[in-house]
Parts: sequence; C-alpha cells; structure tokens
Amino acid sequence: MFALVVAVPLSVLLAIFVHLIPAGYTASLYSPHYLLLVMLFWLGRHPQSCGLTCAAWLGLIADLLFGGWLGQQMLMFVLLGFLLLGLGRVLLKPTLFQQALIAVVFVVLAKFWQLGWARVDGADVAVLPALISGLLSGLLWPVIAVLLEKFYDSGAIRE
Amino acid sequence: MGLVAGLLLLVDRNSHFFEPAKNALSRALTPLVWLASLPDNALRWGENQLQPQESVEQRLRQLNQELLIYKGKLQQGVELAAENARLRALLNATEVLAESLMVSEVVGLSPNPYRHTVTINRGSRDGVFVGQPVIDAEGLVGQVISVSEKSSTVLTITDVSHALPVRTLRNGARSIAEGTGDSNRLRLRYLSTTTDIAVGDELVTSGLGELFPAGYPVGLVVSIERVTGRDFLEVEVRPAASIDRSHYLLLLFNEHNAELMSR
Repeated sequence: MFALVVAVPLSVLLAIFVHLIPAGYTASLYSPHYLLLVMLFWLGRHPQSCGLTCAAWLGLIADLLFGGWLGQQMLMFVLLGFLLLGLGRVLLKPTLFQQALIAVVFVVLAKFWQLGWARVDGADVAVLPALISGLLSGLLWPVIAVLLEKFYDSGAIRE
Repeated sequence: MGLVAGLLLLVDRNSHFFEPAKNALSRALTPLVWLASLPDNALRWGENQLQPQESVEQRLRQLNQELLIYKGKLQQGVELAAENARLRALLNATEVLAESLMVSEVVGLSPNPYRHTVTINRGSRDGVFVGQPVIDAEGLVGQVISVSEKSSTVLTITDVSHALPVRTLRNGARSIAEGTGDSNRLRLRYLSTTTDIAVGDELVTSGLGELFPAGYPVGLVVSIERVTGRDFLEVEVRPAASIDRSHYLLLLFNEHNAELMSR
C-alpha cells in the first residue's frame, strides 16, 4: 500500500510530531529519541534504499528540530548509521530483544553526544536522564518495530 | 557524509552564515508545532468543560476578588510610579520601564532538553520584535530571538546561552545571572567572596544593558558556596517565573527597546 518513498517520510513526520508534543524540559530529558529509532528501523530493514544519505538527511532534520548547531545531529546520525550498517553484516537476523538492546546503546550514545555538546556550551546537566532515555527507547522499540514492520509489510515496500 | 556534517558543524559554530536558513526552516515547522500542541490544548479544554458549574462559579468569584485586590494595589502603584518618576527627574536619572503588555499563548516547547526555547502565538503582525522581553505572572521568562508573521521563539533565561544583568532587591548588589540548562536553576557570575548576599535574597533585573526593563523579578537565591581557591562565589538561583509550566506569557513593549533593536 505504501511505497518506501511515502512510508519513510510519513514515519519521520510522525516521529517529529511526537517530539514536538510539549512535555516540559525535564520530561524531554528522559523521553526516547523517536527520530533516531525511526532511522535505526529503516537503516536496519532497507539499507539499500535508506542508507547513510538517508541517515544524514534525518540528522539534518534533527538539527533543525532540536535547534542546536547545524551538523551536530547529522554527524551523530551518520556515525551511528555507519555503525549500524557494519553491525548488520555481523548480526544478520537480530531478534527483537537484540534489536532493543542495540536501540538502547545507540540512543544512549546519541544522548551522550548531545549532552557532551551541552557541557561544552557550559550547561550543568546530569548523565542519568540520558541513560534512562536509552532504557525507555529500548522498552519502546518492540512497539515501534512492530508498527513500522506493518508499514514495511504492507505492499509495495518489500521488493 | 560525515565530512559534510563536520564542515557544517564547524561553520555553524563559528559564524552566523546558516542563521537565516535555519530560522526560515524552523519557521516552516511552526504549523507542525501548532498541530502538536493540539492534544495538550484539547486536554486543557476538556478539563475546563468537565469542571462542575459550582466550582467554575467559585473560581470566578475568587478571580473577581483577586482582581479587586490587584486594582487596589495598582492605584497605590500609579502614585508610587509617579513619585519615582519625579525623583528620577530630580536626579536626572533615566530608567527603562515597560509601557504596555500583550498576552501570548505558549504553543510549543523545544524538544531539545538542552536548548530552552518556547514558541508563542504572537508574531511580527502583532508588533513583536527580536530582543523583546517576555515575562509570566511570577517573573522574567526570557527574550524573543526570532519572529515570523504569526509566531515567535522565546529564549528562556535558563538556556545555557542566556545571561542577564541583575541586582539584589535587598542591597542592590549587581551580578550576571546565567542559564544552566536546568529549567529550575540559574547561577550568578562574578560575585566576589566579600559580596553581601544571602540565601533568600530576591533578584530583579537591573536595567543595565537596556534590554530588560529594571525591577522585574528574576529569581531567589537558594544556595551560596564559597569554594576555597576561587575568587568568586558559586551562587544558585531558583527562577521566579515558571519557565516550563506557564501557558500564558506577557510581551513587554516600550519604545526605547523597539528602537534599540531596530538599529
């Protein structure tokens, strides 16, 4: 039903929408990195069509969404995308648990990257929320993976 | 790709080259920000609708009483302001004072927990300008950093890139209040270890720099630490404004500020 050119932007739009729901600064410290989770899914499922260029574009969107320095999220998305593609060659068919574990590690790395830049800019921020955000992302992964899997299976996407 | 990202990062950190493009693209997100705030608004509307009639009437009575009290206080305030202006004229001193206010509604919060900005539903068509001070019912919230036709972005005083001149209400000691990236905490810079400051001191805008009008509450000193070997005190301040909880904000207008920013 949905071609990849529709499914990817639609899932990205949904992720942006969830990020934009006003929850307060403290809550957003702990919230999962939805956009990164979407990138992890598409890069894992369709690396031929959504590869590093796709990761870079998503990173650029994240830069505009989060309002930091341009290229900050983009660089992190590209590096994590590169790591994921490398991991895909080792772990050919990861189980849902393994995927969730990968999501935890990647989101924690992404949050640490954000936190590191915030510290460079002089912010006085704690590490624990970044770890909790990673854990929450891991817990959320099965739901996101199943929902996006339905997208993936719903017609013209799977060649 | 990594190289492109690194280059972008380097250029953006060291120049304002991408600023117009970033602002334009961020403005493009405004409809989505508005859309994302709809569930929250619907929830608030639902809560109001579900309130029993008695409770609404009681709240209305309470608000009317509060309005009467504030009107009474305002009468005294007008007299004090006039007296203050006369004394200042005698001393040949000037002070930036807000001339009018405009109510605005918060429609979005930055999804980046380390960047404290809020989006409000007032823009250039309402006369909003970059650098305009923003307050809530309790104190100073921040300043406008970008304006589009129907909305604006406000950088709050708790953002790590924000700093403003303040003075203590008790003795007028001046300092700089800096954001920490924590919405419940500010820190004071460059206060020498001999400065007369105590826990519980109220801080207000000093009016220096002419951006923020003088006398608006900024926060309350909650802790003071004297670190051995350092020349300055480590002072923590709790912001007076409800930075990430206020739904309605007030934009301060005065001709002096508008002129200063248009230059």
